Amino acid sequence: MHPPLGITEDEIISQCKTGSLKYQEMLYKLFYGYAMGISLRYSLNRDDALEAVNDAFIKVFNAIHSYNIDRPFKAWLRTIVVNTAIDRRRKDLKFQLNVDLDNAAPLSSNVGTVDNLNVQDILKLMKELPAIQLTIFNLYEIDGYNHDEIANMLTIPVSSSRVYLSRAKERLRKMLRTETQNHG
Amino acid sequence: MDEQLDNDLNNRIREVFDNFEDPSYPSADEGWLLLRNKFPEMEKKRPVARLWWASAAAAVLLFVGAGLWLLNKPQQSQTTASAPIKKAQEQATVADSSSLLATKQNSVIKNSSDALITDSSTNNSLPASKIQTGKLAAKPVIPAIANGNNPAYANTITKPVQQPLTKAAPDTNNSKPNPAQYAANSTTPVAAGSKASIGMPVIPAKSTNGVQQPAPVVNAPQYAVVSPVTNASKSVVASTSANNNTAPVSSITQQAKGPTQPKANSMEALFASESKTPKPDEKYTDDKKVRFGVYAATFFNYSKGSSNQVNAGVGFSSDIKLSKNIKLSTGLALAQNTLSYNSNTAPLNYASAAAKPQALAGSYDKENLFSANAAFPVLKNYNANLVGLDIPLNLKYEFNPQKNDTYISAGLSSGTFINEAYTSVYGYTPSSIAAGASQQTTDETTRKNFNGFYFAKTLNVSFGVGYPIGKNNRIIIEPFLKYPLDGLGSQQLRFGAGGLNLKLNFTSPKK
Repeated sequence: MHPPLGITEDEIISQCKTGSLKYQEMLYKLFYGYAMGISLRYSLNRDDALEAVNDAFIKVFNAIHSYNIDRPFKAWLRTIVVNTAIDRRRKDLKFQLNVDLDNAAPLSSNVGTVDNLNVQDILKLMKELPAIQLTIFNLYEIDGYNHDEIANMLTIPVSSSRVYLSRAKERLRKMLRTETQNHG
Repeated sequence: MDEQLDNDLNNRIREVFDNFEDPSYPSADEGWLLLRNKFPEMEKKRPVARLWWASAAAAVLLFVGAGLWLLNKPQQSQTTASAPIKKAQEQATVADSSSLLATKQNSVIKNSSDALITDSSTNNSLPASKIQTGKLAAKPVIPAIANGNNPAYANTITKPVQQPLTKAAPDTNNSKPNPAQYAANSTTPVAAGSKASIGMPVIPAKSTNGVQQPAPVVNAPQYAVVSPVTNASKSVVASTSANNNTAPVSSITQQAKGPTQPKANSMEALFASESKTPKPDEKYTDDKKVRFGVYAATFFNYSKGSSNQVNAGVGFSSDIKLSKNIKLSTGLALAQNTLSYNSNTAPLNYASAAAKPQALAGSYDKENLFSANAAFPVLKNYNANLVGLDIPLNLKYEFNPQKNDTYISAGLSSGTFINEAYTSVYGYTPSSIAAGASQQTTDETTRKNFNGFYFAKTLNVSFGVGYPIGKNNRIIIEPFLKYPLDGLGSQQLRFGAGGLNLKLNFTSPKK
């Protein structure tokens, strides 16, 4: 979504700093899709994702006076959305922390189907992952966090982060192969 | 093989999600409406929290003040309990004096001696000196009566007494029925009790035993504490307390003899001794040039068309003494003012509110946030939240600054607003909704900080009653009213306030 005509993104952010609801609404609608795209990867469903997005925007509005306008807003928003989504699922993450470490089986690959995967396919595959594996896969592979940062965020050992990422990849490969076989 | 698959999969996922936006469902509009259910609530919690804390502070201050006052009360009860007794005795004295006047001239001497005793017990100050042996009682009594707090009574007594006074002294010794006469004259049980308590000093005086004389003199300051009103008792107590209480006879005699000197000199001496001696009954003296205080306020904001809103504030005050009864009161107060108008009662001078809907509709049309061109939002509610710094300048008239802190105060306030927030809530009419507008409301908040200084635009009227807390502090309950003389704030809202100040006035201890 693009900003309304005649108004730049920076102007909207500047007006949001004054507390104007009108511009806060503009900012929300401008970045809603982007935030939902991030939140969906971490959440169980769309409702859950929307709640995480709204909580993230409330944090944004409350803290926007401290935002440095020279930095890219998207990166700042992304960090907030990711953290908010993880916070909302932290209970699930702890519950599933010790699950599935040994359940993964070695997978054979089917490279030819990867390029055909669209968003919905990938989301469908990812939703099959346990919450902890899904979160670590998202954080490491898509959002660019390293294992030390992930370990800090999730309060787990770094080695566990590595293991869970490995298991997530293995499970994705397995599911991808299964999907390919079903459609083949 | 697996690594290649992983790389391909990771690259594909990054590619898909890197700039992925998903506005499909729920839509951004729906998301925003859901957000608005939470976000304004969170914003409104702050003033509520501030109000809660301010109210809690005021309540705590009130309870602490009440507690201290109650703790202080037993001491006061000793001093104030005898006030009715004294009053009853005064009535008895007046009754007695009227009976004296009624019995005419033939019993002048006896009645005058009655009057002497009556006066001594009424003033509660100098029974020994007045009713001792004939020599002691005869001379000093006259000025004591002349300086009595009942001029009419003093006049009626002193004239006939002056000459036969030396004869009156023995009669004084024989005046045993007088207390009984007191009791007979006073019909209230309080008077009977007063005879027991107040008559005590009289009895040893009748015995003409010099050994017992110190006892009533020792009691004299206690009575003085009891009766701060009469000038005679004050002056005598002052002089008595200035001397050593253990040497009553000589000192009292001297004091009693003093008034036999020319009257002007005696008064000067008495006033001089009074000014030198601290008065034991005045715990809360009013001799400070400036007195400071802090206060918490809870009040209602009122304005034409606005529902009354409860608010709170805090501040400090300083009272500058201009004369005995008049003080200049100023200070600084921080207070929150909130007003809430509905669409029918929005302030007329908020002209921009009426102009907003079309401008708002135009802007939203331009931004394609609302689809219907024909849909104009209308003002549904208008709220103002102003946090103001108030500088009052009041003249305070204290009714009796020596005794208590009851006063009225009036003046003007100036000040500024630290923060002004005006929120206009717009909604859509049914016709607009029918025309295609989405059924939702929108708020527009305008904030301003330190937007100008207003001068003397609020009239202040208040009334205060103070209660002592210890020797130097006083808690004051002060109902107040602020009446707007002109519009305030950037939107020139004309609003006032009425409520209650809970004030703690304090002075530094005397050196």
